[in-house]
Amino acid sequence: MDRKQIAEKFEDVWDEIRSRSYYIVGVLLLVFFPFLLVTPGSILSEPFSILNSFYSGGSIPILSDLFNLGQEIGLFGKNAYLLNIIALCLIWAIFAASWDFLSGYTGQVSFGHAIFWGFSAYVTFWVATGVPIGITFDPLDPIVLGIPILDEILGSLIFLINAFIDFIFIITNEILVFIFGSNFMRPPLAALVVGAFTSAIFAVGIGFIALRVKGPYLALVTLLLPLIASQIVVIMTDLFGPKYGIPFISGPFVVERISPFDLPPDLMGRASEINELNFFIFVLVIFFISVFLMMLVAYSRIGLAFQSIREDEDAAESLGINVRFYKILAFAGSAFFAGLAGGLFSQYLRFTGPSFFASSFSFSIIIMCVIGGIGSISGGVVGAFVLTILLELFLKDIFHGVQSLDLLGYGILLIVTLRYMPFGLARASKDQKKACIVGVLFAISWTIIPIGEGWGTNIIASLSSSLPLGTDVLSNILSVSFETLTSYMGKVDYMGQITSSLSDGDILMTLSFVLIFTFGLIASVVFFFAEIIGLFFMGDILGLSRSWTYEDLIKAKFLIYVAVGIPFAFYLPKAFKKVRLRFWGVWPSAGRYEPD
Amino acid sequence: MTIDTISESTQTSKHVILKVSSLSKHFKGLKAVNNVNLSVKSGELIGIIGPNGAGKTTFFNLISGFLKPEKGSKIMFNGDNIVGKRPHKLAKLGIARTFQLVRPFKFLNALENTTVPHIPKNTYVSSSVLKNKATWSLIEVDLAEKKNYPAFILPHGDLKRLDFARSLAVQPQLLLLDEPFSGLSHEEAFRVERLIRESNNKGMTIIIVEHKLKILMRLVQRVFVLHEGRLIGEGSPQEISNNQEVISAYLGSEAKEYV
Ligand SMILES: Nc1ncnc2c1ncn2[C@@H]1O[C@H](COP(=O)(O)OP(=O)(O)O)[C@@H](O)[C@H]1O
Ligand SMILES: [Mg+2]
Repeated sequence: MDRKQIAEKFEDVWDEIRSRSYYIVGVLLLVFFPFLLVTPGSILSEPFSILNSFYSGGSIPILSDLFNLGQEIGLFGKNAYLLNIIALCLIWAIFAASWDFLSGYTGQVSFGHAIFWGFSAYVTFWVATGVPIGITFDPLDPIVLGIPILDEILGSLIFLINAFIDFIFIITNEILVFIFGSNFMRPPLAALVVGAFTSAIFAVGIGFIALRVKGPYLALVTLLLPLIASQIVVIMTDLFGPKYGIPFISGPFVVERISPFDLPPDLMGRASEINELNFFIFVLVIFFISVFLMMLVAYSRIGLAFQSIREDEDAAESLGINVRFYKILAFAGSAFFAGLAGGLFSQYLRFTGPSFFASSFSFSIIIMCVIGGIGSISGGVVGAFVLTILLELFLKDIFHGVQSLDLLGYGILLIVTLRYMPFGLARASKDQKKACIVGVLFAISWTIIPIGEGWGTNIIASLSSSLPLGTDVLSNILSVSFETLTSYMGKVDYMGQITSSLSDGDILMTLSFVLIFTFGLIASVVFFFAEIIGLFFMGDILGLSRSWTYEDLIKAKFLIYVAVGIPFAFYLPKAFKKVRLRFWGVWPSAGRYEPD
Repeated sequence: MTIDTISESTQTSKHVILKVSSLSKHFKGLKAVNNVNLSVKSGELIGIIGPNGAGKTTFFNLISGFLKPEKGSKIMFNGDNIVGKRPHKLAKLGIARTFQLVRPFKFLNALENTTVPHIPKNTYVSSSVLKNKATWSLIEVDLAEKKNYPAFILPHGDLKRLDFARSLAVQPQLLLLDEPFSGLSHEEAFRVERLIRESNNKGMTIIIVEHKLKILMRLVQRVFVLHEGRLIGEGSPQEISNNQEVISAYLGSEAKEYV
């Protein structure tokens, strides 16, 4: 490639940037102005900045009160467990949506999005915990070449490189201290934004690679990039020691920075839970902002240009769309949000390591987007929530300590989704959406309601004593339904209406029982599958019942009910319609027109 | 509005809008376009004919920037050499094209399809204005009532007109149409023909590659004939149908019927 071509390429990008200069300056001001305000030494910093509450503690009192209340009624579960899970869902949602932003909209399928997430995780963590500075040159670890002279040469070479890197770090630190203030340890939000921006700039470089390769080749290149990155991190450590290799960095991060210093006295003992709440709010705010921004872009004319590139690159270019610019823009934007998610995830885990580049991260978000629906930012969010809750709340508890559950569970769900709703949950047909909702409600009602009534506990008792399961359950159903019946009868008695004829209440009651039994009869198929086959199979044949707790059992039950309930809710109306047409003609449809 | 201004500038002065000299393109030894020289005046309606594989589509690809010609080739557009410029740049300069096979943005609806070409020139225009412009582009080709249909459900005739509307929306000075009548019924072809005439009357320079000679010959003012990459004939439709070389290479014995 000669000089002229390179110049022209940059000219292309520069043209587009220049014609948007007002927007760019505006956005930059919007992003950076708050940080300027809170730079140490700035006059405005203390009283005016809202962000300050994130920085130096001082949690908003109403929020902690709310948290207190929520905790008391058990809203967040033990140790704010649920809060943590939702925070994780939000992080995954940002990540999945960022993939959709690139691959769903522009069609540049990336199989290695984890590179942006890992890259930003490192940068974020680094920025937040400070650049490691120290001029003490550690004596190098013995280098295993075996030949003394070579070892010495290599040793002094690495010594020189080390010194050079140290020098660069010192200079960088001085510059950063000059810009930001006394210490380069930045609060989480600032670290996050710096990490995301660095990731975006990094992605511009990858975007230039992406211009050269297309389709499956691009997929292959992006698949390999994170693997290379993680290897580089490992090799760096081997060569330069833990100081610059940073394979794992962990340390005080979220807690110290976001935590309120002056807790109300009654909450003093629960500082860590309050931190969970703070972190949750932090993630929530970033989630809303980033999804809002992504939707803003995706639904704007820029998003339309992205989509035109996805549909037909040549046609788009012939119509004046600057394909190179938009591709790079998509890469940068996507990497920015992936970087936000990566930074948040490293804050969530409180460490960063080479495992951040694992391809299971990349695959997870692709599956999330496919399940939620590609090409609509909301699809990624939906998919992330469904899969994360499935994994964290259910699978992990049901199958204690079983490895790589995530990809297995995701994979099965992916196949089912692709078979029955190829465009994802967000674009499923109305019947399918209804069936999903009804199926989940159905599962909730069957699993949650009987908990206190003796059903669940009896089943557990039968499982734990490994008695023949079926008979026990059936007798339970019978006894409970009789109990319910008699209790209702008793209520009628209690009202003192002892009459020979039937009262209105009796008729209503009888009708409702008829209804309940009719539907119960149909639902017993589901019941049979879920309760007897499902639990018997899982509990006794798989031999997992030993390690199950009460809650795990409920969760397993719930999953089975969902799995059986959704098809049930989908096919029941259809079957009912068939039966109806056969025996009653069109009568019960009350004049609605129903083709097919 | 802009079309009017174009017509003003072009009708007053019939300058040479496109001048191609010693244009060649080789595919690994195959000379798809071989030393072609021609020039087109502003406001002309030109036809290019030739057997399959003659290099007509390649010629379009070269002019619209999708392919890079061999060294020594020159393509002058409004007096500037445009060799090596990327297609989107050329679209901004005023060259639009359609493709031989329809290439709509399948999963976008008709309105979004015509919005895309309006995007590059309207960075600071509000989205409602942008939408209006796109709707006007659809109205021009009688597709306004189907504006919410995704392109993949539209029939072939509509897609041809949609392609045409998209390239008109670029507001080009030079429009390259690659087989605009292929696969169209008599009625649909007539509609497209009318659209081409209208655009040309507004002053747009149009070059058409077409195999349906009956329509082409009554539409265009001048014809170029390509054969195995070379330009073998040039002139009015009458002249071409009497040209012995063209008859033997392409037209055959029924040459007279087309005029
Ligand atoms: N991208 C390409 N790579 C190799 N050969 C090509 C390419 N494009 C066209 N050709 C060849 O160039 C010749 C001219 O093709 P084309 O311009 O499409 O002809 P037509 O006049 O039918 O439109 C054909 O022999 C074709 O096979
Ligand atoms: Mg062709």
